[in-house]
Amino acid sequence: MTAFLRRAYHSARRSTARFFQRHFFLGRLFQLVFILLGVTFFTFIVTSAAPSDAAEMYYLSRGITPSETLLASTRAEMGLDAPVLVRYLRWLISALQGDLGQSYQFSESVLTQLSRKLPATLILAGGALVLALAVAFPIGILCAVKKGRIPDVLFRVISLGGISLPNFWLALILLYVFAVQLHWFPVIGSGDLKSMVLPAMTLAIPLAGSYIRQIRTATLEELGKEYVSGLRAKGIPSRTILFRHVLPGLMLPMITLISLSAGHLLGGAAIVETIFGWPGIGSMVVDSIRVRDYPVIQGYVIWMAVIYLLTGLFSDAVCRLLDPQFRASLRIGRHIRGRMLSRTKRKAAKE
Amino acid sequence: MKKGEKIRLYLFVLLAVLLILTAVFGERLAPFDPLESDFTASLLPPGGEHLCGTDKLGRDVFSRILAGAGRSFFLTFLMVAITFLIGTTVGLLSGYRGGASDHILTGLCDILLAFPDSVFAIAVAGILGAGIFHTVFALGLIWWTKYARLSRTLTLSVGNRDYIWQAKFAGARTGRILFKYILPDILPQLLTAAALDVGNMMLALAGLSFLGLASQPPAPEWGYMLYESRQYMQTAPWMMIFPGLALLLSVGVFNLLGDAVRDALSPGPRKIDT
Repeated sequence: MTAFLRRAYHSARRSTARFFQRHFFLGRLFQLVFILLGVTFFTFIVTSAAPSDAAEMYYLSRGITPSETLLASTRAEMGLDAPVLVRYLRWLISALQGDLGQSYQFSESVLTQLSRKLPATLILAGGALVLALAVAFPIGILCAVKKGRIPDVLFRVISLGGISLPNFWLALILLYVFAVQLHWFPVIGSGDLKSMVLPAMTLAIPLAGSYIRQIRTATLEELGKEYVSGLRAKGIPSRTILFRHVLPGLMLPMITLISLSAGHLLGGAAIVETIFGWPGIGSMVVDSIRVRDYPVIQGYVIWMAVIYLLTGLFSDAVCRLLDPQFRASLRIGRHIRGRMLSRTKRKAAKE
Repeated sequence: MKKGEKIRLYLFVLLAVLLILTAVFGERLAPFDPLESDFTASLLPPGGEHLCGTDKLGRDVFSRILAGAGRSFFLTFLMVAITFLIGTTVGLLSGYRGGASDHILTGLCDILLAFPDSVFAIAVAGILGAGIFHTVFALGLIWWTKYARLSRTLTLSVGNRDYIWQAKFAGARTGRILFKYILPDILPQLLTAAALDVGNMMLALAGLSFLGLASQPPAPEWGYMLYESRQYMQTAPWMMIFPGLALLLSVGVFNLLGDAVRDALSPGPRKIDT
C-alpha cells in the first residue's frame, strides 16, 4: 500500500513537474493560488484565536455589554459555533465574492475602506522607490567602478548608516528638523505633494542604503565576467563597456531588487504613515489595531500578501521575458514542438 | 583571511562585546534610578547631572537608555538564537530527507514569506492584543523560515558530495551525517546570515514597541521611549534624539560586525564583497 502510494506520488510529481516546466506561468499562477489559500487560512486562524469574537465585538462596538445567553444566541445566528474549517470555507466563499466583512469601527465594508486608502500608500511607496533609485543607482555604480578607493569606502559607510537607521527615529528627526524647526513642510500630512516629501524620504533613505550595496555587488559581478575582459582586450574604452554592455546586464538584478523591496515599503508604511499622518493603508491598520477592528486587520494582511505576491510574480515574468536565454529556449521549444507536430501529421497522412 | 580583515573583525567583536557588557550591567551603571520620577526635574535639557536630559516625569533619560539596553539586547539575541536553531534543524532535515515532508516545508515557507516584512507581526499583535509575548511570537513565526530556507538550499548543495556518500556507505546514521558532516560544512554561511540579522531583529522589535504593540509602560524600552517622546517633540527633543542614537549605534555595530564576519568567513577567491 505504501509502495503504491509512493509510486503514485512520484509519478504525479514527475508529470506535474514536466507540465510546469513547459507552462512556466501557469505553474506560477497555480503556486500563487495555493499560497493565497494558505495565507488566508493562516490569517483566519489567527483572527479566530482573538480574545473576543465577532459577536462580542458587535455589541461592544455599540456600547452594549452583552449577557452570556445573548452572546450564545448571536453566535449561533452569525454561524460562529460551526467548526473552524466550515467557517473558513464560508468566509472564503464570501471573500471571493469581494465581501471581506464589515468594519466594526465604521459601518463600511472592509473592501471599500481598503480600496479607498490604498492609492495613497501606493503613491507614497512609488515616490520613495523613485527617490531611492535616483540616488542609489549612480552611487552604486560609482562605488563598483572606484572599488576600494575613497568614494567607495565613503559611500559604503554612509549606506551602512542608512541600513542601520531605525525608520521611525529617522521620521521623528526629519519631522523635527524640517517641519518643527525650519517650517518647510507641514507637521501633519494632508495627502498633497508637499506633505509627501518627508514620509517618502523616510522610506527612501534606508532603501537607498541597501540599494547602493546591492547595485555595487551586482555591478562588480557583471564587471568580473569574461566578456568584459574580452571587450577590454579588443581595446573598447571602459566608458563604452560600462554604458553599452554592463548597464543593460544590470537590468535583471535591478528588477528583482525592486520587487523584493516591495515588502520593505509596505511593512514600513505602517510606522511611517502613522507618524506623518499620511492617509494610507498603514495608518489605517494602526488605528484599527487600537480599536481591535479585526475584519479590517484581516483584510489588510491579506491584501498586503496579495500585492507582495503579485509584485514577485510580475517581476519574475518580466525577468523571464527579458532574459535572452529564456526567450531562446521558448523559440527552440516552439520549433521542436512544431516539427514533431508536422511529423505526426505526415504519419497520419501516410496511413 | 587578510590581515586587514582580521583586524576589522576583532575591532567589531570588541565593540560588540563592550555594547553587550554595557547592556548587561546597564542598570548598575545608571547614575539614577530609571523608574524613579522626580517632578521638580521634569523635562530638563541635557547638561549638568542629567547627561541626556529628563522626561516628563523627571526620569533621567540616560539611565533609562542604559537600563533599556539589557532588555532590548536580551530579546534580540534570544529571538535570533531560537529562530536560528529551529530553522536550521528543520531546513537540514527536510533538505536531506527530501520527499513529501520537504514539499510541505517549502509550501509552508512560501506561505509565511508571502507576508511582507513586519506586516504579519503588526497584525498578530493587533489581533491578539498588545504584549511582549504576542509580538515575539508573531515575529518568530515568520523569522525561522529564513534560516529554514537557507539551510535547506545549502544542505541540498552539500548533500550529494562524495564524502557524504562515503559516510552513508560506511553506515553512518542520519543524525550523525547531518550534524557531524553536513552542518560543519554549511555553518559558516548560516552564522553569517544570523550575524547580519541581529540588527534587523533589533529594529523590528523596536519598531513594534514604537507602535505600542510590545509595551509594558513603566519599564524602559528604546522603541517605547521614542513613542513617548513624540508628544514632547517641540519642547524636549532630547527625549527623542538620545534613545534613537543608542538604537542606531547598537544596530550599526552589529551590522558592521556581520559584514566583517561575512568577509572573514567567505572563501577567498570567489568572494564578492558588498
